[in-house]
Amino acid sequence: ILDTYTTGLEMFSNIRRFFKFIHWLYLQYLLNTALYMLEPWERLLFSTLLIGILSTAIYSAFVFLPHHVRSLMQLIS
Amino acid sequence: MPSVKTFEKTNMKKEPRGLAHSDSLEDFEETPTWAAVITVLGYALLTALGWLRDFLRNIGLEDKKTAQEPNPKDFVPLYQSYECFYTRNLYTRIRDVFNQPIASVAGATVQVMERLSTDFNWTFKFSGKKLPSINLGSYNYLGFAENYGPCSDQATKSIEKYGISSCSTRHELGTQHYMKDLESLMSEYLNVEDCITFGMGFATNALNIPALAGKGDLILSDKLNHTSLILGARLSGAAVYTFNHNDIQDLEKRLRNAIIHGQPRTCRPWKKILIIVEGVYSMEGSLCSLPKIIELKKKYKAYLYVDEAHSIGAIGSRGRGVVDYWNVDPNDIDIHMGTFTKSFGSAGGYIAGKKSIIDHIRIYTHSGCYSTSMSAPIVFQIISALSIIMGRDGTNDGQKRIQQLACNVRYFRRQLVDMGFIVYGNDNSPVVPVMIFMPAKIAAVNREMLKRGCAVVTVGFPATLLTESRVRFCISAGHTKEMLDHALKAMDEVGDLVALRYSKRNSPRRWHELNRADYDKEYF
Repeated sequence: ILDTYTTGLEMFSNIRRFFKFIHWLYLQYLLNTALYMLEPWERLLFSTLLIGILSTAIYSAFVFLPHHVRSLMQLIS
Repeated sequence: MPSVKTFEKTNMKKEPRGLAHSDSLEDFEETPTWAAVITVLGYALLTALGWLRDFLRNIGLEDKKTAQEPNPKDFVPLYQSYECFYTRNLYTRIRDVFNQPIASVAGATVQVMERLSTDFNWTFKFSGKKLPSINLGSYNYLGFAENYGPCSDQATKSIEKYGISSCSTRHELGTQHYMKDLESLMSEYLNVEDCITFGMGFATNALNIPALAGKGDLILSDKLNHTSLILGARLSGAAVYTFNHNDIQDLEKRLRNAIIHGQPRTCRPWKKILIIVEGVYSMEGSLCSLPKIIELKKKYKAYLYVDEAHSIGAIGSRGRGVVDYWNVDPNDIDIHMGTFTKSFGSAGGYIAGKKSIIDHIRIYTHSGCYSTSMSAPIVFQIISALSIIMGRDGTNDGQKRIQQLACNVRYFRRQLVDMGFIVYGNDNSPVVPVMIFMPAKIAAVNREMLKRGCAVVTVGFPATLLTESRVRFCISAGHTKEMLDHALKAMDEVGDLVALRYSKRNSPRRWHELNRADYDKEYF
């Protein structure tokens, strides 16, 4: 079996492209939510609020959803 | 002629009058819903943060940097509250992209002075650096905004002979013979009986509509008319109704209702009805459908006022404006109005039409006794520009400029549309608005384009609707193909960086994916 390795140089440019892509995604987040024109502390405030709300929602989904789905199945059957 | 061929290709329905152009050339693609939702949410976030900042300023945690209202007891407030809120909290955040000072003549290229700010655009410092950029924001349609050449030579010679200002109004000592020369030349250019010129384009509208309409008259103006027309209509004291932009059915409905019901309380017939439209609308780039409006006007016996500020010199095969473009009889339009600011590289405005109307305006215009007449270098600049356009100077420079502009416009517009941007307006108008809906992208596009060497004008609220901010390119005959290519490449990169390719009708494509040969063969 012949594995094809990327040479060191190509890996470097791939990593660079990946970081550029992440930077582009961050720029899209800033532009679409109008954070691009806000001062740094306002960006921090909004991002903290957003991450707080999202993480609370995801955590509650992980903890409570299986139980809810199980009780729903029991109600149906 | 290449222009006739392209029109026939895209021409789906032909006008029965045998015109070469149809209405299917105008295009206003709808806003994608997700873009509108995100824009509104963005403005909501900015408003909420604006309230927070105002609260912090009021309790003293932050210092107030705007002008404070003195607020003496029992007096009406001086400032309107939402306007100030908008200026403090939204406009100032991106203030560095508006009102940028320049350091050279605003021709095809311009030197923009770089400004730096350490306290988020409340104060600016010049870094001293001048950024040479392609000028895509000046209304320099025929390329006459230059400081060398026959026009500027004539203007400088006239200063030596006639001085800088006439220092008097038209009714007193301000009417000079060169103004009479200009008026006769302009009336010959437009193929009308007579013409009168004024020192300021805005004032031409604002001070002359009161001389034409008064109490007991009706003015029907397009919803997207310029502020000068709205101001003139309000000053006149006539009743003003608006009709939807370029909507002939709506205009006919309002005409019929006006004639049937008459004046609001007394139900007496209107003394006269004046329809005010513009040739090219500067924020949308659309043309008015003049033949249909003339048909309506003749049927219902109304008067027509056409404001050709952006279209004179720039539209039409001989550069004579929308009248030339649609090939209508100039005698059908009662009042032709235009400005010398855009295509002639000067300042001022004119009103042209039948001699009886112009004689009436000469006496009753407000600017006849209250504003100074045009100064000599300005008049000579227009006279030399007009003689070049009309071919009176012996060369065919004028016709070449008009064709160069038409070529540039077609080249630029087609490529932008094919790349997937939403571009409003008629395919032939030199005003090219590209939509950027979100408020933060207004600043991003302007700054990124300036970094790449293109000075553009980005507009948001209140010049446009809240959710419809745009970047407006103004193509000039002074732009060469290399400059347009550079601008298109820059727009392509910026469109990728900022995600501006909203169009659903054309798929998003990069500049290098477009077939060069398609566009090059149309460009001579």
